[in-house]
Amino acid sequence: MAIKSLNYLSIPERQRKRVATQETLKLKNALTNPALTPEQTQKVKDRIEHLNRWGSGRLE
Amino acid sequence: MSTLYFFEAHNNVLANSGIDDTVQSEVPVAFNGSFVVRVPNGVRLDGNPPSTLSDLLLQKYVGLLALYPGFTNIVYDEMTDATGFVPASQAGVTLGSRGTISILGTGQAETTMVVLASTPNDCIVTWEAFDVTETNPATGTDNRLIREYDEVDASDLVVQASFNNGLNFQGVLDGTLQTIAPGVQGNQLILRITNNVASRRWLGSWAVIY
Repeated sequence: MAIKSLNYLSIPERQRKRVATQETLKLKNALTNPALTPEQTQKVKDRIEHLNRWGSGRLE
Repeated sequence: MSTLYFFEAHNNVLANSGIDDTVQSEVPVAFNGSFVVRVPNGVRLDGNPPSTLSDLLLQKYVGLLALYPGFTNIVYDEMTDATGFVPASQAGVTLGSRGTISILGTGQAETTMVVLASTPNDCIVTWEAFDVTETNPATGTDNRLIREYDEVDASDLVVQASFNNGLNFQGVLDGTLQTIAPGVQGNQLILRITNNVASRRWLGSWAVIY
């Protein structure tokens, strides 16, 4: 059996979408923080977009 | 609190080993006649209840990857056999099948190189350590040997990771995001695992999420 590999598409779609949504909600709450710099805001938005694509299985 | 799955230890087809029992890992538990697969706290098994070793391992590592949303790959070894190690390079290491790989105090094990699906900038390395105690009562009607699994802190084993086929190693912390410096990045993973305590420790598994 030894060393094995899996990728994120092995995660059942329902489970993947659920954890992505939970994580995205936290980040959307973080976006309401007025202390965020524009660069930090952009990083959070990029992360949200990455998670959306991860959750829906659309990462390239 | 993690969950321990006890698997039958004598199935000719390892992947088809059936589940003997399931217990919570609170105190040392006897596992005579079985071998143990630990499912860490927080890892959610999604799908039909597992009935064989291959079922559980798939669900365990899918669940572990899902703990870190956004990461795309996981590579792992559950220590069901010793093929993930180069026997000649091991000092103070006992290799075996079905959760029997252990490292003596100050001993060091090194995994075989595995090619990753990409070249990561960061990753999370996690591993499991346990102790096995054996008592053999001299008297009594049930004076058989008792073998107990005792979950210990992962830090009893120190892990270093190389992503460039052993040219550079960096220390990693269990379950912690690690940045891989540009100069040492690569897709050829080797882990170096050292016992950090005086007595023997068993390696339950390792996984790299990236």
